[in-house]
Amino acid sequence: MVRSIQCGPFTLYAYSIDGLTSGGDISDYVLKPIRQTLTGETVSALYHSALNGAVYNAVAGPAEDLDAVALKLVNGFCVVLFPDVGAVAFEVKTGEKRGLSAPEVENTVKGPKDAFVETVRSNTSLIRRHLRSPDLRLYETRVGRRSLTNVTVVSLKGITNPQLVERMKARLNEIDIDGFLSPSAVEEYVTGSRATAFPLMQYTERTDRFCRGILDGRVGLLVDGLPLGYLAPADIGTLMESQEDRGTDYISSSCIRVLRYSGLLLSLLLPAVFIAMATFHQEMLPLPMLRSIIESKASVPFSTATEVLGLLIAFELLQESGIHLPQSIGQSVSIIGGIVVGSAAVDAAIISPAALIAVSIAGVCGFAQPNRDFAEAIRVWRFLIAVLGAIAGLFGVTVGLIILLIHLSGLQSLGVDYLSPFSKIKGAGILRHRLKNRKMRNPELHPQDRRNQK
Amino acid sequence: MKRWPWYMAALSLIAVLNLLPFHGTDVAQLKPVEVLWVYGVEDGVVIETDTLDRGSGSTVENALDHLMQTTSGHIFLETADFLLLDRQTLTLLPQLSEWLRPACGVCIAEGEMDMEQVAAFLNAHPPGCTLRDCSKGAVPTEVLKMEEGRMELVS
Repeated sequence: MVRSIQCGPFTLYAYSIDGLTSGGDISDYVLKPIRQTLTGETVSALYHSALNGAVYNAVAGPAEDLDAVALKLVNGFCVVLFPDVGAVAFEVKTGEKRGLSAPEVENTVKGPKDAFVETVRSNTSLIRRHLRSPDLRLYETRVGRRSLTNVTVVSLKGITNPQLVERMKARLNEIDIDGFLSPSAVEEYVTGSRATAFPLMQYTERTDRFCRGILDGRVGLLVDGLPLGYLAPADIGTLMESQEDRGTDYISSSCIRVLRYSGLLLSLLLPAVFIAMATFHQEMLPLPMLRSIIESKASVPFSTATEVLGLLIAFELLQESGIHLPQSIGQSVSIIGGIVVGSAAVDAAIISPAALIAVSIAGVCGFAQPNRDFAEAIRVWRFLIAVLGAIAGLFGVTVGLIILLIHLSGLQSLGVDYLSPFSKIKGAGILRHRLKNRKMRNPELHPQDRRNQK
Repeated sequence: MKRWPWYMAALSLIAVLNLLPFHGTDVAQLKPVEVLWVYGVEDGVVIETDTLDRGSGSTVENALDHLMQTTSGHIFLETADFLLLDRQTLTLLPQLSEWLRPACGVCIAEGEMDMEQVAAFLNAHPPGCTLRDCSKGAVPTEVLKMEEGRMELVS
């Protein structure tokens, strides 16, 4: 939009982009004060007067060249051109943005209910409400040649290791892509695009969890347009941690964590071990169970390996269809796929109940993992280890586990080892210790201030 | 990293062509045996199972081979909980130990046996002697008798 403004004998021009700016605000905080209060003998005098506060607007600054003008315009500014002198940009962003809402994925029974939204400025304000420390540092930059996405690096001066912050900034500066719009773009480019399915950054939609990470000495990353906050470095310990762990007492939390880690192992290994036992090591099964499995498989036309691998694929397809459909239809698909088709397949002796139970337990245990990216990586490896179990029994499963361990041992997130919570035998990686006993921050993060309480 | 797909393809090909040194038997093909009855006849040894399969041969190995070959499915001896012998086949314990689990209970059977009922009876009244005991020199003394359709384990 272009609007000419008569200011005494001079004509000024106001530029803005419809939709990004508020017409009312332009009228009230740009056009009206220019018309009513801006006076001067020359255009240059008007320009300096406008810059120095004659125009009633909180944010005003010079736009020195055409690129700067364009940048201001796409960021919700109204740029007033003073012919032959310069341009001044006034902030008049539209108030249209999604309101705060409760977290949709990371629900907790107790704890705050505010979640990140798509607007980075709203997110930084939410963080400031949780962390009122003046040491909170927000470094803003733009990534994406075309998208010009605003990205904010969040850290806490005096706690966060400056090397981590610098490393994060350096990675952001190295990124040279058209658009920095999707979560995968953020994760891949920031973490260096390692060949792994495991997440090297932790995402959260919860502001309190994000702030907890910052307080622990990690670096935060907010991307305009994504209702998420990223935390790095990430290791298995942090990815297996649920926000609910901090909402309950340490005994209950520790029990739940043990259960969660058991679920992780079951999710990863149960289908593979079932295939291996049913194909290579039947002598390890108790006789009643073996008999029951044999009876259940009497008229099933497929081998156990085919059955389990097929069910794993079917399970993934069901999940995928549930994600892409609207929530109400997605639930129906899950019910039809899981219960109706599953029961019908068992009744029709196409699959055996034992195989269905093994795959279902593995699936349910996968859902118990608090981080979705991590659970998806486990799903990939579950399939690979199941294939190895079908090829070579428990030997294959062991080989798969060793390969996985080697792979995880080689992973690093911003220089911190992925398996660092388990590098020292303390049990600290699994159990949640009493808060009053957690006097030190994680030494792997090399925080500037290691002590977090007396 | 670009070599991984080739390694995976090679492994898949080897697996598909059944060239791997790992050969499993699907659980559906198994016939798990709970009770094995080994008794002597004039020209050798007969083996009967609670799955009502039967094999015979001049030696216990031949009888087992015959049992394996003539049975539909795969006879699975790893699950055998009880071994019945007669006085003549007591000497075959060392050979049979190679096929059965050490915890397998051993007793002497006298007379005809209803193999469908033996397992249920022995589960309720397990013999005290096992193959492990026998390997240490113990001799099974308990005798399983069947009279008028009723079974009895006599010490």
